[in-house]
Amino acid sequence: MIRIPPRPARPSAPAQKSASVVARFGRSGTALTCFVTLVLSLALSAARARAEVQIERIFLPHGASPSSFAIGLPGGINFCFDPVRGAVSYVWTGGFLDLTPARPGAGKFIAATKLLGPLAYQETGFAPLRRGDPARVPVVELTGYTLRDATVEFRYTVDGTPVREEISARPDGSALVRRFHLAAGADAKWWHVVDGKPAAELRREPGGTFVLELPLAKSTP
Amino acid sequence: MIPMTRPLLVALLGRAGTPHAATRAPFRCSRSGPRNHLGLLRCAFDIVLAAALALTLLTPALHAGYKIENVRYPAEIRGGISAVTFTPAGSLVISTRLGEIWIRDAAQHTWKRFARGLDEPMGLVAESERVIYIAHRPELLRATDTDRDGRADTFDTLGGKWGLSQNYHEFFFGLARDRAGNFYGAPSLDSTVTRDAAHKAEYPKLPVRGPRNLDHVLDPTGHRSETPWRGWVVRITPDGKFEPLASGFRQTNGIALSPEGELFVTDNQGDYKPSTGLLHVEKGDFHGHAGSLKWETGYDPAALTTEKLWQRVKTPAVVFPHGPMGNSPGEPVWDLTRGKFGPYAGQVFVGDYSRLMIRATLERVAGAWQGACFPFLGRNETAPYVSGDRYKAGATRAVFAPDGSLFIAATAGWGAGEDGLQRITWDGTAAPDIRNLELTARGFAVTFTRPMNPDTLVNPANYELNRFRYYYHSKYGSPWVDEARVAVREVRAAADGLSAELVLAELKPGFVYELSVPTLRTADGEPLANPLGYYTANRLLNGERTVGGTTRLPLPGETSLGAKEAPGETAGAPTAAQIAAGEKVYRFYCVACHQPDGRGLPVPGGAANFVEDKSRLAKSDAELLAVIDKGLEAKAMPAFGAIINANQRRAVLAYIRATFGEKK
Repeated sequence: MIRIPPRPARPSAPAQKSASVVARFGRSGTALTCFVTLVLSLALSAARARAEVQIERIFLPHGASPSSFAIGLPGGINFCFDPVRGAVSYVWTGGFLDLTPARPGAGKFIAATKLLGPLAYQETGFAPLRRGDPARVPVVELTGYTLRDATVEFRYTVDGTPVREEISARPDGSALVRRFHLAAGADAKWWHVVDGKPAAELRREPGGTFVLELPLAKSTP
Repeated sequence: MIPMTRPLLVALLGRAGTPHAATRAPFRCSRSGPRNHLGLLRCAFDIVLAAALALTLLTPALHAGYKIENVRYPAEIRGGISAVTFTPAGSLVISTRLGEIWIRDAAQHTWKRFARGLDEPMGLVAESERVIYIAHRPELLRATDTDRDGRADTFDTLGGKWGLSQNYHEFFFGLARDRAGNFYGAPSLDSTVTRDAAHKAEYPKLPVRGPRNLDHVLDPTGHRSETPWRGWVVRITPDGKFEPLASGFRQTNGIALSPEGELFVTDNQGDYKPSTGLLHVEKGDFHGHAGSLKWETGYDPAALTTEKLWQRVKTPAVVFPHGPMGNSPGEPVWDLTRGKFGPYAGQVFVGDYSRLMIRATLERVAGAWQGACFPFLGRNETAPYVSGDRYKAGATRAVFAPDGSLFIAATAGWGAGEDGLQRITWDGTAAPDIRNLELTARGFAVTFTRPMNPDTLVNPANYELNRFRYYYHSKYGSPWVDEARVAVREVRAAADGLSAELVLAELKPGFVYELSVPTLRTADGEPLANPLGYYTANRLLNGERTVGGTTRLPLPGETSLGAKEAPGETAGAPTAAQIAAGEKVYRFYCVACHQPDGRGLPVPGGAANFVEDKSRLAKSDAELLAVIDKGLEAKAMPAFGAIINANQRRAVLAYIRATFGEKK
C-alpha cells in the first residue's frame, strides 16, 4: 500500500533553533537533554508537516472526473475538488489516500485510489456554482490553483466569469468553507445547485465575496 | 585505444624507475637479508609506481569513447523519471511519473522538490529556477515559485482542451516550445484492452472530461481515440489558444523542435503503424492512425476507406525498423554541442525503451525531411568504446547538459524498464562508426568517423544493401514486404578513406534501405562498432516519390503476414536455413526485450532469460509456439501471431533453442 507520508516540513526558524540547541547540548555531552531536545524538534517538525496542504491529481473514487484534486487540509479534513464540475464533490476525514491502485507501474490497469477515512460530505450534479439563473448549467474551465499553508485556492471561469475560490476548514472541523472572490459579476445572485436539494443562494460578504459552507458529518461509516 | 603490449610495459617500467631501471630486470626481487630490505622496498616501490603508471595510461584506453554513469539523487525521489531538462542557468530539472518536479542546483548540486501532486508529468520546459512549464495528463501548467522559497505555489493552466478519461494508456506527451513561445504536445490514444468482464462493463460508465466516442474508425484496433484530440499533435499559444495541428498519431512519446524550428515527434509501432520512427509534423498532416480522425472537421465515417487513408498518410521521415532499431522511441534531442559529444554534431539522438539509444540524421530531399538511423548505445555497445555503468532500459527522455554531456532519464512500468537517471560523457576518442548515410542521385554516400582501409572500402562485396517497405493496414505492425537485395555496382571511395559513394544498380523511392557492413575495416584494421544503418527514401533527389511513402496496401488475396507459408518445413529437426531465418526474426522482433545474448534484462518484468533459467526452454515446442503466437499478457510478452507467420515462429523457436538452449 502506498500511503502518503507526512510532507516534509519547510525549514522554519524554530526548527533551525532547536537543531542548534541539539548540537550545543550534544557537544556538552548531556545525552538526556540532547535526546529530549531531539524529540521536541521532531515533534515540531511533524507539526509543521501537518500544517502543509497535501495534494494529488489522480484517479479518485465516487464518480470523480479524471485527474480530480485530492486535497488534504491540516487537521485531517480532506476533499475532492472536481475541476470539471468546478466544485467540491465530497469530503472525508482522517487519513489521506492509498494511491496503490492508481499508480503507474502497478500493472497495466489502474483503479481508483482509496480514501483513508469516512465520507463526511458528498454532493452530485453538474457545475453546481451558477450565476443568476439556478436552472442554467454553465461551462466551467479550470484556470489554475495556488497552494498556501493551510488553504488552497482554485481559479476557474463560470461561463467566462473568472472565479477565485479559497477553500479552508472551520477550526472545529464542523464545515468546509468555500469562499468565492469575484472580480466581476458580484452584482448577480450566485447559487449552489446539487442533486436532491433545492437551489441554495450563496451568502454575500462585503467586498464582493460569496461564501458557501459544506457541513461535515461527524462520521460516516 | 592504446594496445598494451609487452614492449610497452617494459618501456613503462623503464620510465618508472631510476635512470638505471631500464637495465634492471624489474621483477628480480627475491634476494633476502637485512641489507636487502632497502632493495626490496625499492623493488616494491618500482612495481607499484610502474603499475600506477601503466594503469594511468591504460585507463583512457579502457574508457575511451563514451562513459555512462548513474546520477545519484535523494531517496525521496521515487519512481521513474519522466522528463529531464535544464534551466538557462544550468540547474537540472526532472519530473517523476509519481507527480513531482525536482531541481538540482547548478552550483551546489543539491536537490529540492519544486512541485508535487501532478498527474504523470511527461514534459518540462524550464524558463528559470522559479518558472517551469509542465505537460501533465490533464493540462499544460505554468508552475511559479512566487515567494522564492524554492517551491512552486501557483499553477496556471495554459491549456487542457483535450478529452480525458481514466484509461491507463492516456498520456499528454511533450513538451516543446518554439521561439514564438508556442507549446507543442500530444494527447495519446486509449488502449481498448480491459482487465476482465467486470472492467469491460464498468469502463463506459467511468466519468470523462469532454464528449466520449467509443466507436472505432474503420476497423477495430487495439488503440482508439475515445475523447477529443487524442491521437493529435496540438499547439498551445502563449495566451492559451488551443490548436489541433496534425492527426494520425498513436503514442507520441517524444516531441521536439529541430534547430531550424521544424517540429518532429516519435511514434510507436502498432495498429496502422508498421514501425516506429521520427516523424516530421506540419499543419494538416495525417500520420496514419485512423482513430484520431473522428474529431476532424467534416468527419464522415461512411466515406472513409483504408485506401483513402493510405493516399493521405505521411510516413516517418526516418523509419526506425521495429526490432533492430528498438520498439518504443522517446524524446529526440539534437546534438548542438559543437563536437563535445562526439563526431556526430547536428545529429539526433533518441532513447528507445528497449535499452537502445538510436542515432538519426536528417537531410532535406526534394523539399521534405528524410534521413537515416543507426544503433548508437545500449544493446549493441562494444567495449572499449563504451564504459561505466550499464545503459538503462526504459530511457526515453534525454537532454544535453551545458557541458555537452547527455543526460538520459528512464522509467519502469511500461515493460522491462528501469527507473533512473544517467549521464553520458565523451572523452574525445571516436569509435569507428558510420557517421552518416545520405542520398545521392545514384545511390548513397556513406561517411565514417575514421579513415577506412582503402582495400575494404572500395570493394562492393563489403556492402550488403537491402530494401523493404511495409503494409499500411489496421493490424498491429507489419512485416517487411517486397524485400530485395540491391546490387552495389560501384564504390567511389574518397582519397582520405572517410567516405564513399555507393552506386546502385537501381534506386527506388518508397523504400527503407538497410546497409550492413560488418566486413569493412578501418585503416588500422578495426571493425565498425555499429556496422548497420537504415535510410528512409520517401523521395529521390529528383523529386520522384510514391503514394503512401514507405508503405503499400496489401494486394487482394495476399496474406498480411508477408512471407508465404512453405509446406514441408514443419517436420523433423530444424535445418541450418531455418535457424538462420529464425535469427533474422529474433533480431527484428525479440532482441529488444530478450537481448542479443538471450538473457533478457535483470530487472523486474524483464523478458525471459533463456540461458540461465532452464525452465524457459524446457517447455514443449507447442507450448512455446503458443506463447509466441498469443503472447503472455501477465508477463508483458506481446502476441506476434499477427506479425510473423507460422514458419517464422517455428524458425525463431529453432534459433532460440539452437543458440540459447542446452546443447545436445
